[in-house]
Amino acid sequence: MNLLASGRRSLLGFLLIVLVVPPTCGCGGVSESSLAEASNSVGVAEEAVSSAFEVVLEAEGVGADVSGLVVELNGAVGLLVEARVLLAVGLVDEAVEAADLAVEVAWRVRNEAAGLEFTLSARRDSLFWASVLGGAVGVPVFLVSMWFVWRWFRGFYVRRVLGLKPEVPGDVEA
Amino acid sequence: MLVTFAGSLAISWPALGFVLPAGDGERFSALYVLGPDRMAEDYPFDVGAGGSYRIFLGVEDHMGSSAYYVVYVKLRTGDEALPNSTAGTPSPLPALYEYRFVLEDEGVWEVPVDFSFHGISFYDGGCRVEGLVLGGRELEVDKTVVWDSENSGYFVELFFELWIYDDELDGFSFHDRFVGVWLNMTI
Repeated sequence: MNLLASGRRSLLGFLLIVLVVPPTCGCGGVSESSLAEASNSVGVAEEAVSSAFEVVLEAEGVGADVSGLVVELNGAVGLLVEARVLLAVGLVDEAVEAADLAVEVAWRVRNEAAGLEFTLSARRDSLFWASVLGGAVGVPVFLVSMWFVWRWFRGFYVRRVLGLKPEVPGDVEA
Repeated sequence: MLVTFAGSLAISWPALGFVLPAGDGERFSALYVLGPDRMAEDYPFDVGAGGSYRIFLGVEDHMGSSAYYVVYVKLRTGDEALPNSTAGTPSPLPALYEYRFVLEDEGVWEVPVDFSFHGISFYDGGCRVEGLVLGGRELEVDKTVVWDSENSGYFVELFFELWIYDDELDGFSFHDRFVGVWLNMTI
C-alpha cells in the first residue's frame, strides 16, 4: 500500500516536472538539446565539406579540371560558415538548415568529383599500360632495327673499302 | 651508340613520364593585406569610435594543387603573443572571425574587410576597447591598451592567421603565415 502510494507520488512528481519545466532552459530560449543537435549538424557539415574537398583533390591529382567543382564547393563552404555564425548567435533552426544545405551541396560535389576521378583514373591507367606496352615492344624493335642498320652499314663500308684500288705513288702524274 | 640510346629513351618516354616525378616549383601560399585603394599604402592607422575603415585581405595559392583555407582574424595589444614563425605555432588568442574558402592552384582570393570600433574609453595611462564590428558583425573584444610612450599611442594590431586543411591530420593546421595592421586608438 505504501509502495503504491509512493509510486503514485513519483508519477505525480514526474508529471509535474514534465508539465511545469518547459523544454527550453536558459541559452536565451534555446534548449540544450536543440543546441547540441545544431552543433552536431554543423559538425556533420564540416566533415562533409572536408571530405568533399579531399575527393576534389584526388580528382585534381589524376588531372581533372576541378574549376567548376571548386566553385560549387565554395558554395558549401559559404553555407557552412553561415551555419557556424547562426549557431554562435543562437539561431539553431536556421543553423541546422544552413548546415543541412551545406551537406547536400558537399555530397553533390563529392559524388561529381568521385565520378570524375574514376573516369580519369581508368583512362590514365589504360594510357599508362599502353605506354608501358609501347615501350616494351618499341624499344626491342628499335634496338634490333638499329642492329640491322649497323650490320648493313658495316657491310657497305667494308665493301667500299675493299673495292678501293691501291694507288702507287709512281702512277701519280706530276 | 648515342643514337640508339636517345631513340630508346624517346620510345620509352611516355611510360617514364608516368613514373618520373614532375619537376614542381616551390610550393607556398601568400597572405597579404592592402590598403583601402588595394595598394600597399594608406593603411588605416589612427582609428576611433564612429569611424569606419577598410582594408583588403588576400590569399594566393601556389601549392601546386587546390587548397582549403581558413583565415582567422585576431586582435592583440603589444604585449600579447603573435604566432611563432620559428616554432610554426599560431597565436594563442581566440579568433574573432573567420574566412573559409577553397582555392584552385594559382588562384587568388581577395575580400574587403570593413571594420570599426565601439566602446572606446580612455583613462589615465590606458585605453579600453570593448567591441569591434567586422563585416557587419558586432564582436566583443574587451582589450585594455596601455600608453606606448616610445611610439606615443595606444596600439592594437588587427592580424590575420592563415590555416590550411591537411588531409593527413583530417583538419586545419597553422600554415605559418600571418599579417596584420597596427592601429592607434584615438578619441
